[in-house]
Amino acid sequence: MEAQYYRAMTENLEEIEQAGILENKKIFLFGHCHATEKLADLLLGKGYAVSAILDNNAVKHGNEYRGIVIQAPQEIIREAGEDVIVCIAARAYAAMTEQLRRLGFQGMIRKLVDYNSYADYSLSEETINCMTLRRQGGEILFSGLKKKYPDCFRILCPFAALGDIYIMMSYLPHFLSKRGIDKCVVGVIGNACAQVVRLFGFYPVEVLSQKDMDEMIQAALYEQDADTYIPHQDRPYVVKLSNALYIKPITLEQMYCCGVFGLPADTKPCEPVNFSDSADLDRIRDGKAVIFSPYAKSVTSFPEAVWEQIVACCTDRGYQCFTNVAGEEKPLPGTEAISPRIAEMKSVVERAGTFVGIRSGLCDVIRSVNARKIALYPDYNYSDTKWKAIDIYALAGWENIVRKEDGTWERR
Amino acid sequence: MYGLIQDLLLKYDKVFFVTKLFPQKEWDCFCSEFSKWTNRKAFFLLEEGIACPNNFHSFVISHKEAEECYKLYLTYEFSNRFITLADFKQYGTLFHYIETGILTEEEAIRAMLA
Repeated sequence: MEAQYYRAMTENLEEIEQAGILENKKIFLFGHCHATEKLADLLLGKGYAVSAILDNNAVKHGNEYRGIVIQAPQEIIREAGEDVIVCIAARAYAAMTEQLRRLGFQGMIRKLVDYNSYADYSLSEETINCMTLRRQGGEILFSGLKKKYPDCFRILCPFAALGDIYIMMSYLPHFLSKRGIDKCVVGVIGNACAQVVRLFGFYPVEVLSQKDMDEMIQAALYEQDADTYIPHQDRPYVVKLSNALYIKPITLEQMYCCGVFGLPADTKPCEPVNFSDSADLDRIRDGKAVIFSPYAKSVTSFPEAVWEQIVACCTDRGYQCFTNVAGEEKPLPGTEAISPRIAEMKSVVERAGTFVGIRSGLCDVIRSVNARKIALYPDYNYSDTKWKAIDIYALAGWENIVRKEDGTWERR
Repeated sequence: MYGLIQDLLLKYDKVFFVTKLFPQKEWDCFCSEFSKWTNRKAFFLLEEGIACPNNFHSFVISHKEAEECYKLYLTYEFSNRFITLADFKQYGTLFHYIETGILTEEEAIRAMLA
């Protein structure tokens, strides 16, 4: 979960706590995802009991997170509405609220973090006016972008995820060629995504906030602008590619190649070209070090003891151990912190010789690196589908290993 | 128009808004697959000029109303149960999966109905 959203969630929770809203209430959470687990952690940390996590994915029912059972949303109607609060920290807040109301739930529902500015499930005059103003704000931003890059096709990336941007960029040249487009500007959220774009060449990049990107995309959609493309597999709401996962598993690579860009399935992805050497290479023992990457924004992390065990195993074998950290992240015990820029990751991992990381977008960034690469997967389902994350995210040429619920490891 | 959409969303599980931009071949396939999809209530808002089987709950709207409806859909997500069928050029669609052999036509329609 991104730091800004975590902060907002913490503040919102404190606000409802101070207003006495949680007092004597049975607390339910809706949507089992990384953010919901973080919310559960916060609530448990404050001494609240969480009755259950509601989730639409039948595969998850009966599982537990820190002793909190995951159950079907229908279970909520057994509860007396006035004694219950449902807290939501998921992108589908509007849809979840509507679902609970349609089930007949009359109790309180609270949004703890605002992930999705596109949705407001109401057709009231007030909502329509408000969303029209939002779109009009986007039109001003969009017009500014068009003026700044007058001869460029516009690629607007709606989500700040390194892996998505990496795979998108690796197929973008084929898409541009198919459409006969010479020049394009790539709009992204945040500097890390801009760094990923630059790995693939000297594209003009426009770095935007999430809010500005959402509004600009809304304007581009409304104007049906033929010179703009939104290359993502499930954002914004108009994109329905992820529905295909209810029918069959489709790898992330195929989603971008075939679904997002409509390119033939055998299209060869382009390789990044703009890597550079880290100034830290002298710190790393050549071929006798491991770079650990235990943190991911949207993936549940492993218990610390798991990492400690892996680090101990590497240390015992004489490996020098590093943890790739950003911002306030702490290195794993027994490892040194290292913070290469995205363009420097290749040099760092190739120097070390081994990379061990939770399957995050960083794994995509170094997918072509010449080293031993191990991607670790928590045993969770991809979104609300019946497929495991590894079915969608497995990386060719890597050792892909799942940590099962019972703590055992399974190689794929 | 907004009132009509609101009423339909209250009464039906899904509301399909079918524009004249939606390719005829896919619409024919959609109608055939939809007939097998019997466990939910659905309503079809059809832009004039589009026909559907007699057993579908449907209503024909004018081009002007369809334009209004489409603009509303492109202003914000007011429901995840309001599905617009058109021919989108600005982003990936399930039809890309058909063109590239990942899904059959039937599978893509079933995905749309999921």
